[in-house]
Amino acid sequence: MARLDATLIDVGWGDSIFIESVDAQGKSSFALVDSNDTTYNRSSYIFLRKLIERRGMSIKNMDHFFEFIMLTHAHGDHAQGLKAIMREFGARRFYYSRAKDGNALDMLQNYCNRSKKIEHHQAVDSNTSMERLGEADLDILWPEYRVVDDNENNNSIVMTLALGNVSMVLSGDAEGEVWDIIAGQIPKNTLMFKVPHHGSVNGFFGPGKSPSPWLQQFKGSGTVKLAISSHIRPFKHPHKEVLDAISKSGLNCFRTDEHYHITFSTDGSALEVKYSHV
Amino acid sequence: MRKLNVVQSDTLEPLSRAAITIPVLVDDVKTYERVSLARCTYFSIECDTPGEMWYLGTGDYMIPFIMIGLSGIITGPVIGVEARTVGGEFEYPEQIDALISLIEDGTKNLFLDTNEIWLPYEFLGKARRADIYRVGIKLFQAAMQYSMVRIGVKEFFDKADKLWQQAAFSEHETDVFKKWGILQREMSSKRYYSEKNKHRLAKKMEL
Repeated sequence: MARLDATLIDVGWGDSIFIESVDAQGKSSFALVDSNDTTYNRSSYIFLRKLIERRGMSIKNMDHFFEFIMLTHAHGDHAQGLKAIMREFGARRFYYSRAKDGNALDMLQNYCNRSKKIEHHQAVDSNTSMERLGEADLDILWPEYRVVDDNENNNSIVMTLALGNVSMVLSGDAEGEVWDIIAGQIPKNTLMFKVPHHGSVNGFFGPGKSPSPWLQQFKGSGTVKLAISSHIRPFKHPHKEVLDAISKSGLNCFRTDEHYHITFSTDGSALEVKYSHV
Repeated sequence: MRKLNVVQSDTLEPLSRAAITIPVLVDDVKTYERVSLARCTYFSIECDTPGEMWYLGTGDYMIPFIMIGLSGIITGPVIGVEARTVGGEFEYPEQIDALISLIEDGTKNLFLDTNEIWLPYEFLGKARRADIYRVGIKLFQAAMQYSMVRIGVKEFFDKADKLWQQAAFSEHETDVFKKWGILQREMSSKRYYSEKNKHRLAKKMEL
């Protein structure tokens, strides 16, 4: 039976999401969205190495472990560590959004231009037709075709993953103005939604602190699970106002600072959540 | 907004002319509860697998060792006749390529990477994203301790108070890195519409 898993890796502060899509024959396809590994804090790298070890896999003779690696936007807390991961694991594709100035992205593009560890790389947007990951369909809701914002957070790739009748939404750090435009495009069968921008007020409220465009989409739904990649240092994301609003909505919310690694798993009909608790 | 303590000039620790400085690039600025910090990227040389024999020279002796892990902080471009460098700053975009090439193509197990530190935003004037600043060692060390969760924000600001003159805008290097970035984007864009992507280009043209 096909399965789609999205794991929010607890990287301390920042984002890193490991995706595994298993097809009906049991073959796995892997993807990684963002990383915040530094020299002294290599959470994503250690997660990947432990996973490979547990499963008795060997990447030695693999050209590419990942089907794709994605950088949602060119901020350091999403890009750091990706080069080391690319060097070790390789990927068929490296996807990213366009940025005005983005040294983190510049370095990665430079590497991809020179290295065979990444077969192909390109900017993606809502016009891009994404290849499937295993049996999961991928779609880009944002950014719009060739639009580049001065606020780098608003260049974040917002992506949906769908298997059968279940969708998951990964939101990067897209802020309220983006959700004002695209909230209506959130699939009606969404069961997992990654809260934007680590649960900060910027990613929650609409322009002028209007009610959260994306939370409104889940009104009356008791089934959607919200996920927060916390960014406790230095700015204590998620913000209290966001947590209070989520609590009032009655929706279940899982946070990496409380639940450690969080895996959202679907067979296309229902969603399960697994987590550890430190 | 937290104010800098006013201190007497003889207790400040400005950069001396000969001081080693580290180029950092402003990545993002965040303010929360009246504390403004700028996330900055610095460049590091990393080792991911044990490789060739290295030698550490101390006076008359050479100590042989194999490097297992390394993280070194880049302070400037490659030094050498062919690198066309006299001082410690990046003068041309090609020097960034030369640095990457020497590290990554010239060795089997070293590579250039980026890491982050946080700096008090008030030290950086009206810094914008992608500006390059040169940071003195003592300020950099304090910032590293904070980033590595060795000290809290109060202790960081207390240490940093005397060191605010150790951050200086590097206008020319900002320009050099921006030009280099544009080159990377141009090279990457050329690959978007290669043979492999013909079907995607066709789809976009239809739209």
